[in-house]
Amino acid sequence: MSADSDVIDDVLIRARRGGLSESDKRLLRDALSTSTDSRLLYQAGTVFDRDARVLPDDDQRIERMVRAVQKHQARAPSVWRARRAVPAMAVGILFAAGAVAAFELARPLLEPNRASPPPAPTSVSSSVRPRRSVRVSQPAEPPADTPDSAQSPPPPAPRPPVWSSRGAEVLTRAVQPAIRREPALTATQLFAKANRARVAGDSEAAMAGYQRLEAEYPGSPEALTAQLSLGMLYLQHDQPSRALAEFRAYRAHSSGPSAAEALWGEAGALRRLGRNAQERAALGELVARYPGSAYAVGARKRLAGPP
Amino acid sequence: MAADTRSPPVLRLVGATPPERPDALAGVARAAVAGDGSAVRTLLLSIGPHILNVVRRVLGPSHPEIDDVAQESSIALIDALGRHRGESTVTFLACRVAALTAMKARRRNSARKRQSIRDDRSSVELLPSEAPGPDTELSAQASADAVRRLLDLLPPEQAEALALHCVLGYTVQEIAEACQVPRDTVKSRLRLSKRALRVHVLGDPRLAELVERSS
Repeated sequence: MSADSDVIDDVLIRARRGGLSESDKRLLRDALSTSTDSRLLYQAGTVFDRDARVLPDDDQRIERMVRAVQKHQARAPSVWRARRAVPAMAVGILFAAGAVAAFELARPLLEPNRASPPPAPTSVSSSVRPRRSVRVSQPAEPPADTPDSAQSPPPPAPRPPVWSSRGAEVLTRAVQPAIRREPALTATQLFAKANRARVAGDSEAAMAGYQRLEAEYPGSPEALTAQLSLGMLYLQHDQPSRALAEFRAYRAHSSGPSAAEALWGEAGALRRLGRNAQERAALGELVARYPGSAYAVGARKRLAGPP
Repeated sequence: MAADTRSPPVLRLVGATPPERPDALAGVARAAVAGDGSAVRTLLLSIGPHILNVVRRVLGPSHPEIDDVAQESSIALIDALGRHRGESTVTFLACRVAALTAMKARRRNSARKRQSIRDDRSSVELLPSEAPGPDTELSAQASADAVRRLLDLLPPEQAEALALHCVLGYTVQEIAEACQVPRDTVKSRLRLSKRALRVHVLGDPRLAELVERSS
């Protein structure tokens, strides 16, 4: 009896994992029809398995877990970490001090070019931090009544810092190690970088990264996927017209599993724009084409509600 | 009964788990414990989904504290890894720690459970289209709720056995091996927890009716 019970317990587990043999299936059927324990455990197990689904924003949850652990470790650093951190910090401080000293030495040699407007007070620092100079500023959201024709105006070109030639040479030689030019990145690297920015909550950098990816590698798989992420970011930043354009562009090239997400985003953008009829059409298409998707459930609820 | 208890164990199939291999995450886990930030990230990107999976199973998919408990589990895992000597894989340890942390959170919140736990049946994932039928669905949900409630009430060892077996879906053999506990001990704890579950369900007329109706 007990041995049978053990066998049944394991059959119940393996049934949840899938791939039972015919004899095990018979055992399962018998157990479920005759044993309250088996029925309870199996029914509950199927609910637990279903509850364990991965959700679309789990990557953000995991990122928060990473930050929580890092914060925890920072609060209670181990001896090993302290030992390793001290020399690293010393090197960093020395390096930074050297760079600052070199810059101070070179400062008298720098002269503003009279033919050009004077550099902004932050020009020097922006030249040392190239990442700021490549960040694309976000133009304002175009009017809601012309969403489909909305095209992003080209981002303003970063204004190069203005140096006298001699000053620039000296400065370049002096602080060369501190300057790291943005290297040419592959589509994969750009995509990963933008994703990291998005996960870290730096939407501006993420949007700039996705835009750069689309501009530099149009038609690449990464650029295609970036349209989806960019659409979501635009939606979060109250730019539904731009979001709509991204989602539609994505759907024009892809019918994969993420197309349901694009349709869901498209419906959301249309709702923000007040185009209720088109929103419902998008939701209807979502339900019809991707009935098993998590977004279809939300679409049905939305369709059942008031327009 | 006693003779039954002594009868030869279990299934060969279940015992035939893959041969022991070096744990692929052991190295990165060691680096994470030592405070290597990128190792922490790598480790959690690998096992974070498992932790979330377990926390959702134990708390329910719409519980408002899933994020908090997942973070708490991650921290507890790093602490546990410092004491880990390779008795089980890092992934199993993560699942076990997450299950225990989530059960602890349930017990901690039991006084205000009614306020804090949302109605799982209203969850997006549980809407009707994929359900096999209303009665079966309702009965399954009631059984799962009963198991979760029981996790709050059972002695810790029995609760852990029930969680690892029923909630997380490990076989008796797997639990015994990973937890370094005799197989008979796991079976005994599981038997007691199943008995408690039966008493709990059959003692509630509404649950009993649901379970019987679905048979």
